[in-house]
Amino acid sequence: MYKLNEEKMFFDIADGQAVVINFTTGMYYGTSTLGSVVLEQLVKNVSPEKIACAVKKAEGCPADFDAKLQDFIATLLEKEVLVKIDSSEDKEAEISSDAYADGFALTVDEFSEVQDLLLADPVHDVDVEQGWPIMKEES
Amino acid sequence: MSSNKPTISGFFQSVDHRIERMKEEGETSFQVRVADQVIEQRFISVANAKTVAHFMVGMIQEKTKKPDAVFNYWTEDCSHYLPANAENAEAVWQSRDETGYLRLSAKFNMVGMDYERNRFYYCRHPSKSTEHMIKGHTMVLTFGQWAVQNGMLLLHSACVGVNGKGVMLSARGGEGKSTLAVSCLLGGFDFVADDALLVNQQGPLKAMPIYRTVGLNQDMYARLKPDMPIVYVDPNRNDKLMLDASRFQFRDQLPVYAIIYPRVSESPAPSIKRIAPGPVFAKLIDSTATLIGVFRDPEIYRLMAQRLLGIPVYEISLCRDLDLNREFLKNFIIKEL
Repeated sequence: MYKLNEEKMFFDIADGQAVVINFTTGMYYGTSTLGSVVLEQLVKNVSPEKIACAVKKAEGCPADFDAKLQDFIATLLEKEVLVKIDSSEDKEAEISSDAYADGFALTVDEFSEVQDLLLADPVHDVDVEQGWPIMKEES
Repeated sequence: MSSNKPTISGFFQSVDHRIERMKEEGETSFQVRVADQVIEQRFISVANAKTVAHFMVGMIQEKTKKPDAVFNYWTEDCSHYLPANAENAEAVWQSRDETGYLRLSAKFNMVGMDYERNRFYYCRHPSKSTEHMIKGHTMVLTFGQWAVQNGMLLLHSACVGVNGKGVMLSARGGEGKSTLAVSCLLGGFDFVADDALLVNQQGPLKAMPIYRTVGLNQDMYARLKPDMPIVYVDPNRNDKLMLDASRFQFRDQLPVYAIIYPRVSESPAPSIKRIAPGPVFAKLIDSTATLIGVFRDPEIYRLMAQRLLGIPVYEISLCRDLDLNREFLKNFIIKEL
């Protein structure tokens, strides 16, 4: 079983999307739509087995969903979003059909700024000594 | 360090000369006093200066001294500032050194800071809406950058209080924050802000106003009937009204004792309970970041988070009766904080 790492993380679900902020580093994490639902279930003391069981009932669930779920949890542990706990409480999974709006992907994205969420374009960091910014000659 | 070494601050000194030449004849700047600092807001257009000044009603002061900070806003094809060898005009370019920061999205805008001279820059691409320039968003973004460099933080919250004890009302848009705040203002509460405010980075938490306008949707405006001139009707937000509240008594600063998360309910009476702070802090930081943009800088998230840790958080379930909600909150502040 798992719980939110409350020593380091703020967590909220906004419009179906997880918002996770590491308040010791300032790093910001987002997850896919199903990932947000799964993360919410995990922090509500639902076991991975019950989550997997519920998701696999959905039409189109990939055959390797168990492995993807384990990878997802491993990533959340690595990022210190979740910590393992001993708990005998194992609630039933509650996963609505909205959870599959974007398919069955379980991804964790690490953002260091919200702008990266909004701008799909690449960000180029340029050192001043590399010659930018510099004011062009006026014509 | 060689005096010839290029710096971001040096670049912005050149920008100053460039935009000085673009300036129209007439009054293109004004000064405001915010958090006891004098900020000069400079534009190249008289019309833009006049419109933004309207939003800053109640904060404007006579130009009597050298400002502590300068905000520069202008309109120009931002591709002028692209690196000479830039192959991808869609990309975002950024640079940072000990003197400043610059971020350029050539088709949208250029935002920069000169830390050495406490100057802040916002260049709008001409193809983008003038509305964006003259409404609150750009100004709030610039205040957000300025605040971080000057020992403060801008937060997306309202703040009201009673007898000098303040609470921040924190929620995403549309959850009743502004309505409750404006109702409190009309009810004689101590008042700082209905939507965005400044807080100090260090020391006991206190909230400070940026402006003296408040926002209400049309329904709440009809119910509350505030005696406030309309500054602006926002067609992009269901005709939300920005109102001039400067005749009301704002507090220059108010100690903050708690954060209140408002939630509209169908209950016949309001209620309040203490809740785990994490989700409310995540909402507050995330919505603030969306409001101001924090430019790839986890440090600002960290500063916001550290500022909030330890503050008690309560959820208030609001009923449909605005007067009941207001009196309930008043009693809570007086008796429980």
